[in-house]
Amino acid sequence: MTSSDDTPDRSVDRSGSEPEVTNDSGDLIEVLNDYLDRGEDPPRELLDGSPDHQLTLDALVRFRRLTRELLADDVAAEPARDDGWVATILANIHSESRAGRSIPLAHPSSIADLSISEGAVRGLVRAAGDAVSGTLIGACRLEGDVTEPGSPITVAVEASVFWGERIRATADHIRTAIESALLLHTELNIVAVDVTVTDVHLRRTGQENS
Amino acid sequence: MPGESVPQELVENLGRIVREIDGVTDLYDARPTPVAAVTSVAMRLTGRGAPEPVVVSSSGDGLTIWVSLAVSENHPAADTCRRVFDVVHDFVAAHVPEDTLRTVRIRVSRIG
Amino acid sequence: MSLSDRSVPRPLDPPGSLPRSLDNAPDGILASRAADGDPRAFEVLVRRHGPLMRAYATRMMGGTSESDDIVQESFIVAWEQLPTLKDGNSVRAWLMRIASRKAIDRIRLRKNDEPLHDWDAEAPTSQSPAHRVEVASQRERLTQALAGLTPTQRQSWLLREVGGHSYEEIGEQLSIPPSTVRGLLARARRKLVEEMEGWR
Repeated sequence: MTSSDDTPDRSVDRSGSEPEVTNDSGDLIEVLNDYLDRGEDPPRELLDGSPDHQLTLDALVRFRRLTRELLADDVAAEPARDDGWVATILANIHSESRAGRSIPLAHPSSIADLSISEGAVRGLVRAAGDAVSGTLIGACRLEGDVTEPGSPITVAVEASVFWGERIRATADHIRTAIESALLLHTELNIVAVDVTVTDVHLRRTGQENS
Repeated sequence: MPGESVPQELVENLGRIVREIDGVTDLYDARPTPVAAVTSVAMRLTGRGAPEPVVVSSSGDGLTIWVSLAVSENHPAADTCRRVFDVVHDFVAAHVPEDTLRTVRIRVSRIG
Repeated sequence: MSLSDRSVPRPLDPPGSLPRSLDNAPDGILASRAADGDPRAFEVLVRRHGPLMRAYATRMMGGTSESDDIVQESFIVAWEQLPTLKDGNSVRAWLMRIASRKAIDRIRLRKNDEPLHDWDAEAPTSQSPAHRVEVASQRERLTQALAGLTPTQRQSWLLREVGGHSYEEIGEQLSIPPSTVRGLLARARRKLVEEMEGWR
């Protein structure tokens, strides 16, 4: 922190303010709040300038904590509700908007136009990967021209693995499970299944996306 | 969207027999999404209930049938899809002249 | 119909495996899956973040009557726009921003009640001192102090301190210059801190 930052008035923009804001306590709150917004400690010289300054800072810190907790407390105070609001939301979203490309299936008849949607294949890949103990599949991409029968296709998935699983072995299991599922249900020419372990997690309460 | 020349029973019966095919777990509205949404609202407004998910459209060069499916993961999805085609094809061919059937489009929209 | 009812064992489940419910999945995984079209992952996000968005909407609107609509509209937009979200781990902040916009849309519709040119009006004193002494908790005091702000001061403050918006974004949403937002927030903050700390 440079000494120029220590001049309190520098960080106050009065352009939209009425005169009342320029009184001492208003100014001081704004100056201190700017430091806290930037994640910085206010300079010692400013706090030592007057006993009021430290008291104001303490008050502001308490207030900001209360602010952060306000909504969490609102949520906690909310009585339990039935699931109607969730159902309403889910009834208004459409999986078809994620259908993606159309993956053709072979048939001898000239009037047959048979396909599996890319969205259905992604769902299959997720289910196959999730079935491996201790894993959850995240993003899934089919790389290559899936609309052209026989094109080489690479499947790229991200996976979250529960803490304690052996990552390399788990990735192998995921790869095998996905390959088997695609072989069973589709006619895609899968040349590789790339598994990227993006994070290791315990439970949500211990969620640390390292 | 269905043309006037397509009997409503044919459309309704198609939906019923497709649902009975082994490996089929659900039928979705086979219209493109925006069309499906408008059709669904229009049919509810006119008190005709939900639209039939199987679409039979008739144009100058014949009939086109659209089906969108959810299938079970206990059967190979590609096989289920082909079986649905065969059943739909045979059923329609028994009700309309052979050469009026132009395209039968079967799409697997969900597996498992 | 609960989530667990619909995710009961698939045939591939190895016996005795850890429960793989999506309920405990990190936000990033859920956001990626929902972007790919997984409604179950989206449902977990709705359950996890919906209550906070509702509380936020309630504070923004000054009552619960429109909160459910705001939350529903926000999630429907979120479903459509999830494929454009770059970092799934920031989905909570992203959802709160969508909720902000939906709330502001509704506030604009209330133009007869709260014309935007009233933003600068001096707020009435919220409560008599005698009444203020009686309030039980800090949260109640903050709620009362918030009630003493003008609607635009309160919205600016919530957008900034709870929604995490920049002065520029708040100005854009409320159709006022960022410098004005700064003045508005300064007054709101000072008034709130002073009421909370009993400086008056």
